[in-house]
Amino acid sequence: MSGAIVTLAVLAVAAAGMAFWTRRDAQRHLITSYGRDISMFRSGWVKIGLIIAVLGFVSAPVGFSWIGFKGAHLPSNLIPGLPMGDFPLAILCIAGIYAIAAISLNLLIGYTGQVSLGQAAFMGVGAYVAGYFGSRRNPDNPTLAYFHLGGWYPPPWLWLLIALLIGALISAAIGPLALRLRGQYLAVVSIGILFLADHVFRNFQSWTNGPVGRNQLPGASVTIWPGKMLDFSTRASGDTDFFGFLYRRNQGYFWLIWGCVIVVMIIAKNLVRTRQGRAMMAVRDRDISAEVIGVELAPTKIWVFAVSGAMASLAGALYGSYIQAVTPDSFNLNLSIQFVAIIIVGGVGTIFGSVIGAVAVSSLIELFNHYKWLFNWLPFLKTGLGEKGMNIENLVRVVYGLFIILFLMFFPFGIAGVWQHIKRYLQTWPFSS
Amino acid sequence: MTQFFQFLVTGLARGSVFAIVGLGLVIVFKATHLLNFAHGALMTIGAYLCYEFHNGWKWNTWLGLILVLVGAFAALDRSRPKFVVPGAAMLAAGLYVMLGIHLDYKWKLPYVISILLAMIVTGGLGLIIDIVLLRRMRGRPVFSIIMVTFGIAIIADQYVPSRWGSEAVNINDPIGIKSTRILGVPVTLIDVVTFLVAMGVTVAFLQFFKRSRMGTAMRATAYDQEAAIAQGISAKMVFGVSWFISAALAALAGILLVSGGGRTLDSTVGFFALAAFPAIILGGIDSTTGAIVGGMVLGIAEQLCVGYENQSVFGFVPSDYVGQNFHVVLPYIVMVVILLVRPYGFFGTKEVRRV
Repeated sequence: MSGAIVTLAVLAVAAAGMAFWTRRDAQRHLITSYGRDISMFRSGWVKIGLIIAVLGFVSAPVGFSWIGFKGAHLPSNLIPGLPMGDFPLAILCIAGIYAIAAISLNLLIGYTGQVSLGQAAFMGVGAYVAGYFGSRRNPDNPTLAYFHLGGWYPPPWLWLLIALLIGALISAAIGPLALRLRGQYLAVVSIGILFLADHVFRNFQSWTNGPVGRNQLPGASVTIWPGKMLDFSTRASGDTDFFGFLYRRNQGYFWLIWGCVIVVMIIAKNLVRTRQGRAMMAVRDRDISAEVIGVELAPTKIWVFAVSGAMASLAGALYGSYIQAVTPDSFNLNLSIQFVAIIIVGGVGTIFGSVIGAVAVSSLIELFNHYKWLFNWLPFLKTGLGEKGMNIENLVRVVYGLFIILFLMFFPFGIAGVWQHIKRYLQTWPFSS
Repeated sequence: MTQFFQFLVTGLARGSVFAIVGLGLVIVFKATHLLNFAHGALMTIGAYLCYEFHNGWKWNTWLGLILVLVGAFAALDRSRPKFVVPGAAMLAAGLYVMLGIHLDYKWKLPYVISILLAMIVTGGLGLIIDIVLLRRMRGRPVFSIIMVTFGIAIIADQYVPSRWGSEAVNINDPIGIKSTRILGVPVTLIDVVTFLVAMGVTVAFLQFFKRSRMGTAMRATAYDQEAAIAQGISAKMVFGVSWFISAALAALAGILLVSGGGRTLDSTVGFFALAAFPAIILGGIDSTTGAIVGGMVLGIAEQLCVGYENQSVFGFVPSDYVGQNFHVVLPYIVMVVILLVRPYGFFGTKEVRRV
């Protein structure tokens, strides 16, 4: 039947097993050295969990959306009514993009304590730069600038890299502001940066096509060896083949985006457990004390701004490539607040929490929009168009605002904090409270 | 020159609205050391309340609001656990009445009374925000509290279009498009009235802040909270009063912003508060004088920019070089430049950092 249920069941069993074996493991091997404490895998079972996660990564698109053989076109949705087909994959693709942006924001807010609300601007920079370097000439809009060298166009890895570098440079240029300003001043200035970016996106017509936005965006295809392309970006309805296997656009993008998520996670995790990461946390906890014990503020802050900007523009480039339309309206304050909401729900100061939060928040929004009929009984929802009253989009936003407030009031460490609590409970069981 | 004078008058009116928005933000900042990002939402709600009072109001809003407030008080009061369930039920019933039943009882009030009522109700809303949400958050990191105010703003921004509709409405104020003459130059009457009202309110507040017992308590709390508490000042009371005044000023600012001919009210009024942040940072985030001066300067600069950006000035057109709608980002550019030179604004107190 549906591979989706099987995939979810496998993941659930894996999580339960991990929780159980964590307890066994903790009883046998207490963490007694600093090296062990900061190591990436504190117990062997995490590695097994990781292997299962990788298997899930490879198999999830297969489970959610059918992969057929060449020549045999199967329907994408085998059981009508179940959330199958491309819909969950589309949610997960967006969630992956948000996860990358949320990790980048978590490095700033959660690890370095620099409250920034301008992350959407860097995402926009990434999207527009990728649009410029990755797109081809558009016959409908010949004035729109695009990059080429005598008919040679940069391949996807190159435009992703260029977007990343330009995002890092611009963000590092913002970094020095953070040296002069702290806390709430920085938050306000970052909102200002958001408005400035919006102004540039609207007025730098030749690159950005003004308020209308670029719709000519790169497709992502990778040449494995000459003549064999691995194309992630077949147009919505089409199938592509990979050595005889057919896969759909959302499946291709799932692998591309979540591959990037894994790489970003590994980089971020390694960043925060090295000297740089400890310096960042010292700056977060008390910057003067950090200076006293020999952390140089300027390089630490500028470096973290650069890394964070690079990750955000990577997310933006993937976003532009996936959605295939970039407008200035996409990168507004709401998007920035959404990233902050993601890291609050997931857990401030954890890498894994950002990913969990991204999946939770974006699937909440999408599921509400998809299952509108579930809320028909609510008396205050409007039914007609011209009527006053709340529609489902308003309701989603209200729930999302409530999520932020309630998590901050009752679960200040987010889902990751709840998970830690459960783990500790199991580890110290029968003596836990 | 006539044109310049007209831009100046509009700028002064706009600047005085900036000043009272900034004043509201500074009052809350001085008391609780947090920037209130829900200020824009309070502005929108205040303006819509005035619109509703002036153009016929519906009783279910008020019955629902009372039920919600009493229910929230009862449900969240941990010292009386037996009221939690009835309180929650009352809250739910209030939400139902507020959002679900649309029975109109049209009763129109005069404009000035509408303004006063809207200010009082919005002030009460600010008080509720302080008591129900922020009082529980005290002592948490500033980032968390800021995000709670963002959460409030998100919810309020959804409530406004679902209650009052998403299309722009006219507030139908009695002044309208009338114009008057100052020194022989025709200017719109609403600009003059706005300037006078805003300045009157500002002066009244400053006098209250300086001379009254409560104002002295507020200043003492802002200066040193623990010492003030040791002197017998109720910090809770001070926070509540600060929030009430701040929200009432927000409502007044929202109303002044949408009054006058050709101006309409929709849910984007709240963006004005984001533009007022540069004003208070320019003046110094904890200085009432700074908020007023910064607001005036930015208001005039913005209106001159609006006036001249599409005209030829000294032989060139500014918008060819800086792009359309440059006045939207002008406050932020000014703010960034000022902050690089003086990180605590012109009138702000320099923060002393200790290890």
